[in-house]
Amino acid sequence: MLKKVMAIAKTDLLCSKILVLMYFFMFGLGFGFLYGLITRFTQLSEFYYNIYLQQMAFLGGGVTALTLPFGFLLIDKQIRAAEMVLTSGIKPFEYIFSKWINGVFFGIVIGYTYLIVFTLLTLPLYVQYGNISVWLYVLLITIIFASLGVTLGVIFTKVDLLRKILLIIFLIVLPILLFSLSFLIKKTGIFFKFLIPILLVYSLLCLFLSVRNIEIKDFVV
Amino acid sequence: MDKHIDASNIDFTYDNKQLVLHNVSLSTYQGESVGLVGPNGAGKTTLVRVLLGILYPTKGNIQIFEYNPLDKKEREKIYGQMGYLPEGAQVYPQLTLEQYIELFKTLHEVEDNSIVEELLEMFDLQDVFKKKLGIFSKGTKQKAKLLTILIHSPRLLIMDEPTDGLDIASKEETIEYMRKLKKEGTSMLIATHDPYVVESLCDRIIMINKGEIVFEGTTKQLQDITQNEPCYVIELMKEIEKEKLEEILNNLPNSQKFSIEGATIKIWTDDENLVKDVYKKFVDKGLIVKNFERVLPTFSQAYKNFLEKL
Repeated sequence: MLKKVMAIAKTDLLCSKILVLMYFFMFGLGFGFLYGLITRFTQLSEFYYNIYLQQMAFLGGGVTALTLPFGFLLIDKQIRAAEMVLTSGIKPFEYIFSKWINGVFFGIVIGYTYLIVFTLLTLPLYVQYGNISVWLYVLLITIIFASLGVTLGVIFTKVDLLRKILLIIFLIVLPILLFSLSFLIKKTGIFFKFLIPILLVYSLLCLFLSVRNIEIKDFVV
Repeated sequence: MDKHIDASNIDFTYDNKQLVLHNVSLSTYQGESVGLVGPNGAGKTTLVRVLLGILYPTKGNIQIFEYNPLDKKEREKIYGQMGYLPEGAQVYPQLTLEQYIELFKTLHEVEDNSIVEELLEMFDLQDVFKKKLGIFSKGTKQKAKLLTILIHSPRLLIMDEPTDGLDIASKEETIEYMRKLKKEGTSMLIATHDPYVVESLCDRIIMINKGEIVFEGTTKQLQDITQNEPCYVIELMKEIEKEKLEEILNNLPNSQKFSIEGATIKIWTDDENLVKDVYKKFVDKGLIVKNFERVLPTFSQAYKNFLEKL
């Protein structure tokens, strides 16, 4: 099973390497670096500067993890590649799992690269980055957003009314969560510590509910 | 012979309003190729998807290799032994052919590379093995897709428009390879609009129209029943004066439709004995008959005639 899942994940990786590079430079490094520099020039305290950089690592990793599985699922359906892949012996659940793995993988790559780059650029802050929880949060955030990305992709591939309603609710809930996330992590790390586990449970629940009754027909045009 | 597909009394609807498939029954046997033909929107692709268990019928039973494709666990056993080419499926343009083949080798758990090499040679794809699929022509992409559904030596092939985009030479090679697979026992269900595929590969055809099977039989049977009036052709060794031929033909008991074009005489009649009489008279007059046969309409004509009669 794992071999098949990894084969699809590898295919997606090969198909999206340019896209990921674009994410990396444009969204990840480019925007993030500027963001970091601006905050640097505004004479923020080291603590807030640190928070800003972490935030970019979280957002970079999170957004990548959210959009890639979502995009993979929709494109595969659109180009009818999913129909061919799913009738070659892989279960729909395994297929979805491969997209999730991809989201998590790329999210981690971008998030961690971010942390490493900024750790190197801001050596005096190394002690703060050295905190293991920052690295763990990036991992958890990519899992959360990859799960939400897959859920979003599955919902979009389905067309019945109930799921459309769920989609609207989901799309309203998601920005609120994102907003809360960015707001709370600015304030204090204590809220953040609670928020991450809550979001993790929420996203995994969404993933479970969306994948529960998945069928091949959901990926067929 | 083993039955590979056995479907009976299938009904299917997309929205519980209009039946897309109605009371469809079909079967294919080991080593047999069946053509699924019909006009656009007749329900061919839907039928294929229902047979594969992608879509669930509202009524009816389906068995493939004695497994039920509507049962998720049994479906896996079917998919491992069959190759399916969906209509209009696209390749991943960023992948090289090598990577694309590698993906399907892993999905089908194929470790032996000999069949891949054989298929690459057959489809003449060795030169583009390392190239990206995005730069391939439509026909080459189709060959790549065909290759991936054949790499695990499937017992059953279900293909929707398999020759779409292929040039004549590639089409012939593909059909030749399919014939070889048939001899080895592979059965095929081919949804197609290509008369060449039907005539040269299909042992039997199933014609579907508005979701119902309207004809099932060989292409010859279809040609027989759609010929409005049988046409016989007598071909003489040498061209002779038209008047002499008209003299013989005008003396036939019933006034028959006939035409003379050089040394070829065509007679339209239901009465085969009458044509035999003409043949005898020609021989009596010392004319040498090169060929004498009943001419059937082409598959395309027969198909068109049949649909017009519905």
